[in-house]
Amino acid sequence: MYQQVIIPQTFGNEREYLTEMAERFSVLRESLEEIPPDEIEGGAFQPSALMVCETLPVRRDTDVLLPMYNGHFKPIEPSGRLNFFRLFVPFGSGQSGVRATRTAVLLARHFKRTYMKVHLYFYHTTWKNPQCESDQGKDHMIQDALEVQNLLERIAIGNCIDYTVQVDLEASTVTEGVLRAAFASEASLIVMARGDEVRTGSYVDQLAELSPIPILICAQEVDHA
Amino acid sequence: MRDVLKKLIRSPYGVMGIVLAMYAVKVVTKLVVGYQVDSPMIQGDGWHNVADVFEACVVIVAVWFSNKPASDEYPMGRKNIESLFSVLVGVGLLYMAFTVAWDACTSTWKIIQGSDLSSPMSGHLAFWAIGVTLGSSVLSLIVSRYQVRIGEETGYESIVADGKETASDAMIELATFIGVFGEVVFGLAWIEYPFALLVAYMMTKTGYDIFSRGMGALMQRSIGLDHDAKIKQLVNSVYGVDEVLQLKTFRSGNKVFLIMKIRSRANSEILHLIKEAVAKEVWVYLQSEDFGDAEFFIRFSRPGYDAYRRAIAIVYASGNPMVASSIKESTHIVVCDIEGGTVVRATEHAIPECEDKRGWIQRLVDEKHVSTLIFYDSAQVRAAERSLSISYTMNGPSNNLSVYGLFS
Repeated sequence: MYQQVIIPQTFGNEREYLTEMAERFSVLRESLEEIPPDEIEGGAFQPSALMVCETLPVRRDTDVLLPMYNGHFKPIEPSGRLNFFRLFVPFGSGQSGVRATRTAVLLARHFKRTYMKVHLYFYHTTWKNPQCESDQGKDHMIQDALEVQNLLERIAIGNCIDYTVQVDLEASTVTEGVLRAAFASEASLIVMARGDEVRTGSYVDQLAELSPIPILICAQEVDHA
Repeated sequence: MRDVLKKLIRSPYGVMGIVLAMYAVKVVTKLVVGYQVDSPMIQGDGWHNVADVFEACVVIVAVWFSNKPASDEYPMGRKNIESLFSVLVGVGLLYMAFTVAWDACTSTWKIIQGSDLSSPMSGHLAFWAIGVTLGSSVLSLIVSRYQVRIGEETGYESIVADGKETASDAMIELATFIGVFGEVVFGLAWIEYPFALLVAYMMTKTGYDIFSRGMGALMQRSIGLDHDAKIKQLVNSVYGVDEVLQLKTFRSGNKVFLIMKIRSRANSEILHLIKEAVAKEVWVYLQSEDFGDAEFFIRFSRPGYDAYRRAIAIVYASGNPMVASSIKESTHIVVCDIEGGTVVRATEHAIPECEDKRGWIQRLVDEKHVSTLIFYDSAQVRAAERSLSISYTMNGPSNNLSVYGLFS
């Protein structure tokens, strides 16, 4: 999957956990590279590298996996249901959902070798359209978001990966909606990309702060394919 | 109209209505035929069914009572009335099993002694007796299945218990039928007794199961240690859960109650989401194990005060600090306060140029209550361990301070 996986040097349980998580995403064990934590921000890595660290780095040129280590080892499959891997991809009306889906598809193909079943779970929450009386979230989506959804479905179908789409109508907050749906769908990993147009209040930052579920954040404008 | 009828026969009251109608038919036919053919066996069975009518009425009352919502006075609801009923049904079945076995043994003994226990049945009356006992048995079997199914679907333990009691009745009626049939067709009145012993065994087993289940709920016994262990495992695997600190499970009627205390470091904003996820996981598990309704009481606790001090021996090389590889090389000791795995405070202490460097470090780590002292080189660490009375020196993986949470 990833040719180069970078983890910050650390020791004790944290090191074991980071290494365990990093190994799941690397092509070979040799792809793993430990670097001093203070080189996380300034180091030069391959464009397709994955960084596995506990806190979100400022740099955005590599994919980042936040394994959400809480001082307690948690296998990546929740619910004790082994051999079942669910990738959760929130999407909006922009291209971040598409970029996240492309990465999620690559991951899905990678994990298909290990897990009995891999499933993509697309999630969107929408504002209520006052002109629409329907209680179905899908009916309130704007055209751009619908087009993104269609594209995501086509990507999943094209790669022969099972998928589900959930559209919530006015989740209390986007972050809460994402996390609630991720828990409900027993997500193994949330895959997200940053929106190019976001200046402050990025959902990625909010989820990185709150989520107990591991998150993979895609590099900006980097295509692994 | 058809939907209303369908809904009615699948409701707890509908099923009990059908049970009452069945007993009414049975009582009338058994008593009439029993007295006509002068069979004490069929007459006794008919009077037994009169008692069953009262039992069915008690079930209806129990269902009505248990259905009342939880209140301040009854915070857990009133489902335990059904468990009480189960205990009574269990005791009743055990008593019936004893009397059936006793009758079978004493009658067999009398036959061995040479008594003739056959009743004067003949002609078409005998076939009436056969028809009534067989028909009654088949009817009881069908209705008992229906009762158990609807009881389980609607979550009424008393209906399930009553259904199992009806199934036991069916077995007794089958024994009666075998007795009547054996007597009329083959002239073998004794044939029902070995079968009655088998029926008594089955009734004992069913009675004990129902009694045990009812008592378990009344005494608030756990739903099973294996179930508890599985639930703990499931909850532990939910993201955001550090550990299940406490789990208490018990039943009230058909409803399972879970009281759980979970340790989590998750942000308080999302604890309610973790609670929902935990409840969903457990709910799915309970449903897969055929438990009925469930109610959860989940509390969270933060990890305890996880603070300690770690010291790092450092040396300044060209103005940049790095982890020292020996006591001799060390120029400073950095004492770090660690909370929740993160360095929240660090103080740097210059080692004075003196003869007894070891003694100075020893005093510092003792004064500061340091639990770990880190050097970089393993050979030097071993030497330090020998020379310092503290046993908590360790070999770090790097000489870079950032590895230990310090950014130089």
